[in-house]
Amino acid sequence: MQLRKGKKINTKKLLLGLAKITGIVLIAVYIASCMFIDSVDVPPSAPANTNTDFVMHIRIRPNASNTSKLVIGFMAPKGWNAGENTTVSFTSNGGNGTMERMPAGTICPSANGADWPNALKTKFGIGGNLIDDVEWIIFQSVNSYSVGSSTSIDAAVKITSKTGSENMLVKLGFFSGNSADGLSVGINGVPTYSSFISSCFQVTDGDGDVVDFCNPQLAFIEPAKALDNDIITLTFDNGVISTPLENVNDIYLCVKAITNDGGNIEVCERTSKTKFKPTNGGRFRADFWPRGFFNVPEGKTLVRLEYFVTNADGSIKVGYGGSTTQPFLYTFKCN
Amino acid sequence: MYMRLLKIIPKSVRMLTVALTVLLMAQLSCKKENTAIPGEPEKKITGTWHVVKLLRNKIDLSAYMDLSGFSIEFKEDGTYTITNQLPFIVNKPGTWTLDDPLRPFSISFQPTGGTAVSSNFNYPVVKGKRQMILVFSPGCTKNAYEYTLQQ
Repeated sequence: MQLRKGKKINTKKLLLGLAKITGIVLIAVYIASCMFIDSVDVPPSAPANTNTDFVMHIRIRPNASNTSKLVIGFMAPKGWNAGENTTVSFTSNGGNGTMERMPAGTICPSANGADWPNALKTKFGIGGNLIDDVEWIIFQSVNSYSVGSSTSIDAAVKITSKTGSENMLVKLGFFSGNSADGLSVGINGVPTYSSFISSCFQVTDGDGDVVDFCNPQLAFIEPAKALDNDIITLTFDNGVISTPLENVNDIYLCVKAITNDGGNIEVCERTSKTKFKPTNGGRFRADFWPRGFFNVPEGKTLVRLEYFVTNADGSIKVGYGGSTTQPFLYTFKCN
Repeated sequence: MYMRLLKIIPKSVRMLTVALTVLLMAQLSCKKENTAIPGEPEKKITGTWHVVKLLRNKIDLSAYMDLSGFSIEFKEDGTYTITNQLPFIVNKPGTWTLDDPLRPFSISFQPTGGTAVSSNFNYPVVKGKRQMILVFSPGCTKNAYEYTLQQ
């Protein structure tokens, strides 16, 4: 075979090369994406402590025969305890079915040995929320399903989850995939799974001030749920709104802790103990163990913090919403 | 010379010599090799341990917390003491035990006057130094802390 003068082609080598390429393409087709989330019905809001439906509309378009279980992930605030308060089922032109919790510790394929919740947390983070207090709950279909390359399935997956007791604004996460492919990506770069992050969903008529996962906060504490025997991180986002401290880099914490007997312990000094450390993007943080920080006597617990952020001489202080009189508040609780 | 000598020796003797040699080699080759596995050494955790890494919900807080003051001493008599508290699995001195001294998977603490608690126990060697990794939740149960201790 001669394509061009002076360029003699070895036919055997060419055929072998073509066979190799065909093989690679076939492998790519086999593991190419076949799962798409077209949309998710998320109501704009729901009352606290109420079962709420979220419906995922997915398309399954396998490129080769495959037998696996449908896997659905739901990212919700930890306070919802969604693992205990969520049910999932689906209807489709290929049949209907129910789903069950993925057994704890089940390894997600193509995710460096991580189990499913951790694999999705690593892959999708906290889904655009600003507070790291959400978790992925994983479900799998009770039955395995065999699909052929010509199969075309449209499914509606209904997730019914009970909202938590707190007022909040939060982005919810949705994932669909299959148990065999996990987080694998075809060599054509197309994932075998699909994900969707909602816009801000609001929980109303609940307890306390709105916990806002969606919008930047001037100050917030992580974890959102903690007790005085946790380590908490207090972040001051200097610059999210204009305050008298916006160009100040030497800032300190002035805080009053309310104890369970109604008393209080105040720490309002400008020392290394209360000094914030700069982090990225104009943010400052202070990490401490409340029981140690306030030297809480045995038998007492802390129920709430009221705090201001101050400059080095204490002449400027900033509280909730930039106020100089209203402190930021934080309540110690687990649910 | 060698070939001539061979010709002098009767064939039957030569055959017998070869057979004996093969038998001897077989005997030597069948001698049982010493394959006994050395005994698993007991995991010694006695001594004073300091926190070198602290994760909260898998986020590393080591750079933001003063870990230098905390230490826990495991003593030969089965007791432990804690210095300069951090939120830890226990907050009072007491006694400790491993579930298996040779291959421990968990460590239990019995604080004096308190309730016994236990943690999964990991005991890797990192950069030539023995470490002890404990995971526990001293506050809300959904907040998991992973302390890496080193002597």
